[in-house]
Amino acid sequence: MDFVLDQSLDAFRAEVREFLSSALPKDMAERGHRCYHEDKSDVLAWMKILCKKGWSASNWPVEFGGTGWGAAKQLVFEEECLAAGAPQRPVVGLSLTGPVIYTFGSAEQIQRHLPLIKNGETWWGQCFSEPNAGSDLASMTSTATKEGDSYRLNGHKIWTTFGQYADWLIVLAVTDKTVKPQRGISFFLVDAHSPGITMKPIYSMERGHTLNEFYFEDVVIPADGLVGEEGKGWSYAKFLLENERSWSAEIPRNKALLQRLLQIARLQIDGAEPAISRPVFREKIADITARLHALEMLTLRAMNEHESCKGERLSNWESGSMLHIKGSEMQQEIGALMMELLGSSGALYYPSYTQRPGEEYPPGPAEAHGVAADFLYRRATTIYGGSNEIQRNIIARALLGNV
Amino acid sequence: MNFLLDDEQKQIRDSVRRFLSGNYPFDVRTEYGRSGEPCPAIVEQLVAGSWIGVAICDELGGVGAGFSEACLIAEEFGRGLVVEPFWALSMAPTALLEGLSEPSAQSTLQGIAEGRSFAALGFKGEPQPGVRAESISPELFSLSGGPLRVYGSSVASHVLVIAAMDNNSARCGLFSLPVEQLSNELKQWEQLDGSRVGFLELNGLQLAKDCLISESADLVERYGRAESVALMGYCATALGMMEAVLSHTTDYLQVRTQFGVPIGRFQSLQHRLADMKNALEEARAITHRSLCFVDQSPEKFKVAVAEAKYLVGKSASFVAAQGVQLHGAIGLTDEFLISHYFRALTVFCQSFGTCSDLLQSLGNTISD
Ligand SMILES: Cc1cc2nc3c(=O)[nH]c(=O)nc-3n(C[C@H](O)[C@H](O)[C@H](O)COP(=O)(O)OP(=O)(O)OC[C@H]3O[C@@H](n4cnc5c(N)ncnc54)[C@H](O)[C@@H]3O)c2cc1C
Repeated sequence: MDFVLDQSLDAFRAEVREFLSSALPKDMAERGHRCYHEDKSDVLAWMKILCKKGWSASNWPVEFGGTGWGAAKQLVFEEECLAAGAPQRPVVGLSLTGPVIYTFGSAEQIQRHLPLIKNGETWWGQCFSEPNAGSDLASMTSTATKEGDSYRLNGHKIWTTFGQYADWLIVLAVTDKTVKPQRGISFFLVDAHSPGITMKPIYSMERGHTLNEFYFEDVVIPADGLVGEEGKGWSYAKFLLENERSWSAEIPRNKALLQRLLQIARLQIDGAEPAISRPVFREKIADITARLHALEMLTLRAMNEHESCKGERLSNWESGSMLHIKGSEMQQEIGALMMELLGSSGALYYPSYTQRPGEEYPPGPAEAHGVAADFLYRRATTIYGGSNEIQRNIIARALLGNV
Repeated sequence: MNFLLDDEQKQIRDSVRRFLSGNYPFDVRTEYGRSGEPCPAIVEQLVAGSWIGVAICDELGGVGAGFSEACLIAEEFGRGLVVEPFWALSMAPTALLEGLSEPSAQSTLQGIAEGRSFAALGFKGEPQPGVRAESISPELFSLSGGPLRVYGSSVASHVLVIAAMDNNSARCGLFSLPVEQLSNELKQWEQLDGSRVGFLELNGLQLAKDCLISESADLVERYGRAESVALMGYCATALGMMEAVLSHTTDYLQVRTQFGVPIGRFQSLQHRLADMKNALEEARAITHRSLCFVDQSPEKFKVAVAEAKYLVGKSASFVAAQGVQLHGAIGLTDEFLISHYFRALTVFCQSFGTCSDLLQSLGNTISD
C-alpha cells in the first residue's frame, strides 16, 4: 500500500483539456450540457474527430486500434470529456462488442468490425433482455437454430438502448435447449437490416426515445455471425460485465453531475438567496462530495486490483456490484438534489433543447433545462446492468455462501 | 377524534371513486394531459356531482360538508391521476371566500358552487413581490405585479388575486380577474405530469371596478389560510397517488415471475413493499393531523401544513421511486401507468417548497 496522490496524470489531464477546448465544437458541447439524450449525428461526428486524434477507442489495446491506456488514464479522459460536454461515445460498440470480438472473435470479425466501430461508422445495439427474461436473463427463449452453415434466429428482445440507431446488433440466443441455459446460449453479431427484423420504439417517462424492442422472425445469421464457440455466449457475456465492472460507479458521470449541481446551487433563482449559502443544502452537497471522493477511491482500488490480479481473486469484495450500487444511487441522489434546488421550476416540462432562444421555453432559469428529464431518466440507473436488488444479492451471497 | 368515515363521507368517497374508475381511464387521462385541454367529463362532473362545492355552505349552493370531505375527494383525484387539480379549483377558493361578508364575494362563491364559474388562486412565491392595484379612474383599476402561479388555470374562468391597494401595503383588495381578459398576462406551461400551471404577470392591466370583490381587513390572513388549505388538499391528492402506486406494485409483485417464482417471493422486495406501506401511512397520519388545525390560528395551521407537506413529500419520493424500481424497466415506460404517478408525485414534491425548503423553515420554528 502506498497512498500518495498520483500526480503523474496531471499532465495528461491538461493535454486532454487542451485538446477538448479546440476540438469539441461549441454547439455540440452546449447540447451535451443541456440535452438529456445523445444525438446520433453528434456522437458519430465526435467519434470521427476523436479517431483522427487516435483517441476514439480509448479502452482498446493498441494492436486493435485503441490507445492502450491503463484504467486510470481512461478515467481521466472520460471525466474531461463529460465535463466539457462531449457526447458520450457509443457504449455497446466500444465497451461490449469491441472487447468481445478482440477477445473471442475470429480474425475476420476483428478486421471487419473493429475499424468501423473505431471510426464511428457503425452503431451497435445490445439485444440480451427479453420481456420475460430480465433479471433472470438465463431464462431467455429466443432461439438460433443451426441450418447448414447459418443460423435461423427467432425471438423477441426488448429494452435495446439506441436500437433505432443500430446498424448491427449483439444478440444472445439459445442454440441448445437440452443443456443448462448457461451452456446452451450463444453470442451473435447480427446485421440490423437483415430481413425478418422489426423494431418498435418504446418511449420512456422523460418522453425520450432510447428504448426499443426487436422482433426476429426467421432471420438468417450467416456462419460468421457466431462469436467464438457455440454454447459459450453466457460466459462471454459474463466476461463483458466483469470487464466493465470498474466503470460501474460511473465516476465521470457523477463528477459531471456534481459540477452541474454546484452551478445550479450558485444561481439566484426567482430572487431567492443562492442555495449554496443555505446550510440545508451545503450539508447535503458536502455529504455527496465526501461520498463521491470515497467512491472514486473504491473505483481506483478496483481498477488497481483488476490490473494486478491476472484473473486471480485478490480480495473478498464484490467490487463490480458494490460500485454499481453506489454509483447508480449517487446519480439519482445528485439528480434529486438538483431538482430540489430548482424548486417549482423543476416541475416544468422542458421540450427538447434546440438552442433557439425564445418564448417557447418555460420561465425558469436556463440551467434548469434538461435537469428534470435527466432526473426522470436516471431512475433507470438502479435497474439496468443488473438491478441493485440483484447486485445486493450477489454481495450477500458472497458473504453468506449457500446458507 | 374519529378516524372512521361516516356514511355520508363513505358515500362521497365511493361515488368519486366509482365515477373516475368508470369514466376516466388511463388513455383518456393521457390524451388530455397531452393536449392541455381540460377533460369535459371531469369539468362537468365537478359541478354535477356537487364535488366543487363540497365545502361551500348550503346557503350558497354548496354541500355544506367540510375540508375533511374535500380531502377525501382530493385523494380520489390523486388515485385516479386526474389532471385537473381539485385542491386548487375547489378547496383554495372555498377557503379564501367562505365567510366574507361582501355580496360580491358571496356571489362569487355561489357562482363556483353552482358551476357558473371556476376560480383559481394566484399563488405568490416567497421572495417575490405581490400585486399592487391603483385606482386610475372612477371606473378602472390598474394592476401590476407577479409572476403568480395559477394552478388549475386551464379550467379556471377567473383568477383570484389579492393586491395592495394604492400603494398602501396595509390595505388589500381581493380581485376576481376574468381569464378572457388575461390573454397576454396568463401563460400556461406544461408540467412533467401533463398538467398545466399558469404564470400570471400583470403590467398595468386595466380592470373594471366590479372586479374588486372584497376589501375585508383580514384578506392577507385569509389568503395565507387558503394557501394552507390548498396545500393540505394537495397532500391528500398525493396520498391517493401513493395508494395507487402501492396497489399497482403489490399486484405486479404477484404476477411478474423471474427465476421461476413471482418476484413477490423475494424477501427484499417484500420488505420494500412494507416500507412503502409504512411511508404511506405516515404521510396519511400527518395529513390527518393538519386537518386538526384547519380552524386554529393561521400560523399554527401553516406550520402543521408545512410539516405535512414535508413528510408527505418525503414519503412520496420514496414510494414513487420504489414503485418504479420494483417494476423494473417497464416501470420507466410512458406506456405504463406507474411512471405517470412517478411524474405527478415529482411535481407535487417540487411545488410549494421542496423537502429541504420545508425542513429549513420548520427548523426555524423550533424555539431555542
Ligand atoms: C434504461 C434501460 C436501458 C436498458 N438497455 C438495455 C440494452 O441495451 N440491452 C438489453 O439487453 N437490456 C437493456 N436493459 C434491460 C435491463 O438489463 C433489465 O431491465 C434488467 O435486467 C431488469 O430486468 P427487468 O426490467 O425485466 O426487471 P425484472 O427482472 O422483472 O425485475 C423487477 C423487479 O424485481 C426485482 N428482482 C428480480 N429478481 C430478483 C431477485 N432474485 N431478488 C430480489 N429482487 C429481484 C428487480 O430488482 C426489480 O426491482 C435496459 C434497461 C433499462 C431500464
